[in-house]
Amino acid sequence: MMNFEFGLEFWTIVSFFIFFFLFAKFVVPPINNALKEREKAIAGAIEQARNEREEAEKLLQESKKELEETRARSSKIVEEARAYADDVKNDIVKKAKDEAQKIVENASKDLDRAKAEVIAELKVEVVNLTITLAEKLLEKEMDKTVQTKFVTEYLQKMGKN
Amino acid sequence: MHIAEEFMLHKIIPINIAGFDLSITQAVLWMWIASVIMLLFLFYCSKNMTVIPSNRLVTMFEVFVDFVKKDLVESFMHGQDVERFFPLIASMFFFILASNFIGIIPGTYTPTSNINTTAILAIFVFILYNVLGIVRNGVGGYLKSIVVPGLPSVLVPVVFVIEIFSHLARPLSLSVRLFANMTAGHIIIGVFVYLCLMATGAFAGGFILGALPFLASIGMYFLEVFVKFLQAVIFAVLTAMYIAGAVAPEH
Repeated sequence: MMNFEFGLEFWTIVSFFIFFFLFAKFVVPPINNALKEREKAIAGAIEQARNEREEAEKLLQESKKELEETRARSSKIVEEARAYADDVKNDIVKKAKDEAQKIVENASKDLDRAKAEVIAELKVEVVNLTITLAEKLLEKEMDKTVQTKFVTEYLQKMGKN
Repeated sequence: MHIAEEFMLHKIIPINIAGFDLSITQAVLWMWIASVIMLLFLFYCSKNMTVIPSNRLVTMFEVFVDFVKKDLVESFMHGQDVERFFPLIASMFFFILASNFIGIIPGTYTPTSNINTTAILAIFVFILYNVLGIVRNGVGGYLKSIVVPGLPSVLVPVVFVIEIFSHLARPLSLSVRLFANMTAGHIIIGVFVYLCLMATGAFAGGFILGALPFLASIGMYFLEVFVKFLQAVIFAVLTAMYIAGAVAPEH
């Protein structure tokens, strides 16, 4: 094993050169291609992931904005509805108050009128009673018109006092 | 039976051309068989590399390739040199790995356990890196790069002589390291097996005593598997280091 063997040295170096040639020619290019392809695929995947993330972020932002807008709009609608309801309520209350006022006014007017009527009737009654009373006191008949005039004047005088 | 016989070369096909003995010995035959198996493995795996690794054999191949590229080449070389010298370093690694590993099959011959195999590869590396260094840096530049820069001028000639000797020792250490490691493992296994046979044959019940060297030989066998891989790595690492040192001395 320590002897000089020219044949072995010759065949070793020849074998190695052939091995090297075949390796460089048929093994290295496919390795490089595969690695390049893998690199490209990984870069593509990373790029795609980045794009997708950006898109997702944009979508999220958009949906947030939309949500914000919707919230604002809905609160505006509620606000408007509340204002409208307030208006309607006030209107109804005012109308009801007016109505009540009117009813009260009408009632008091009716009352006044009734009072006046009663007073007038009372006056007539009083006159008649007075006349009857006077007739009975005087026991003589008087002209009805003179009587009436006399009583009325008397009553007016009484009223003034 | 003699252990040394295991390492003898037997001519299988005697060839003699112009006085040179170019016979095909069992060392050459097993080197070819190992190389063909290794090349078939490499062809198959490199053709079947996919974007997403799915084949276990190919994944193993990729681990090897990645290891050679990252740890053996990129540790010492930079830029374009990586692509340029990767095929050489990788083929050196796979060639030696195949030659080493064919020997773990009993009855085969480890081509790298012969000094001639390792010596010619080491000499090839020696010539290659010196030629590359001269081509890259010119004769003067290359000779200057042998000495570590920044030394006092008095020391330069001394260091130059020392460095020349260290360079000359490189092919020697490279070849002997690989050859000795490949040979030693086989010799130790052989010795253990021999001891086992001797003990078993010596007296009745000797197989009990013989079991010890037998177990030791099995342990040695696994150690040798590791050493075979390690020596292939070391040879390739040193090749890469020598070439890198010659082509780009500043690194």
